[in-house]
Amino acid sequence: MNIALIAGMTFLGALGGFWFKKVSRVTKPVQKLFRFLLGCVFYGLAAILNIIVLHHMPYTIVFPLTAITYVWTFLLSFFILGEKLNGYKLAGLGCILIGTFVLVH
Amino acid sequence: MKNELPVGIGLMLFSAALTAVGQALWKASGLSFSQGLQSWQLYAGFFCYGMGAVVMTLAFRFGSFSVLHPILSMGYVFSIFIGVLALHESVTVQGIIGDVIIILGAVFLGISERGYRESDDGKQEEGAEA
Repeated sequence: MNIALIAGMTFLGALGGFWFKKVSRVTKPVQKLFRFLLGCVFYGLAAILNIIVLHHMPYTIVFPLTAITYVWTFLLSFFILGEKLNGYKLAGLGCILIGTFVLVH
Repeated sequence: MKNELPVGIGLMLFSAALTAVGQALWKASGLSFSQGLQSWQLYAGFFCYGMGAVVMTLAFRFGSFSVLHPILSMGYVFSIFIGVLALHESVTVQGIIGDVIIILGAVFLGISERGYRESDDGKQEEGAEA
């Protein structure tokens, strides 16, 4: 149950960021606003889930687990935004995941 | 062609700090949800989180998603400082080592597109959906 909550929370967080990124890819203000608000919905849902999770699990465990968000970020970047991934980016993500794991163990 | 990525990274660090403060405020808002709804910290936390989102959106103008979004994890580093200074949590050796590894990760991301010009940035999708 906690794993599903964490997976859902992190995916929503990444989707929020994804739509914030998509704001920069259009120039019309209406389009920008629409994408920003869409991002806010996902980001807000992630935040609410975060608060709920924080009431069930310790801050020091929940906060680092949110790093899984960036695994989703890489998947969205690569498969949808068409961004290139390279060794430095993967090393960066790896360090962030390891660093957050070390933080709590 | 000027490199705007440092601007994006700077804005992401600011966004990370706002997010970390927001989460610390939620933590301070109490242990039960009903209790939390009556505390100013919950709403102040939402304000910081929201400002973090606005700053993040601005940051994304200056670099790609796969580079800038993970830099938000610098919020973990800031949260250790907040935990020690404001929430009076203790800092462990593992906490410091973890922070150093996360900072290293952010550095890797920061240099990951050096000399690389053909990123998605500036690419528009005019006329695309939404």
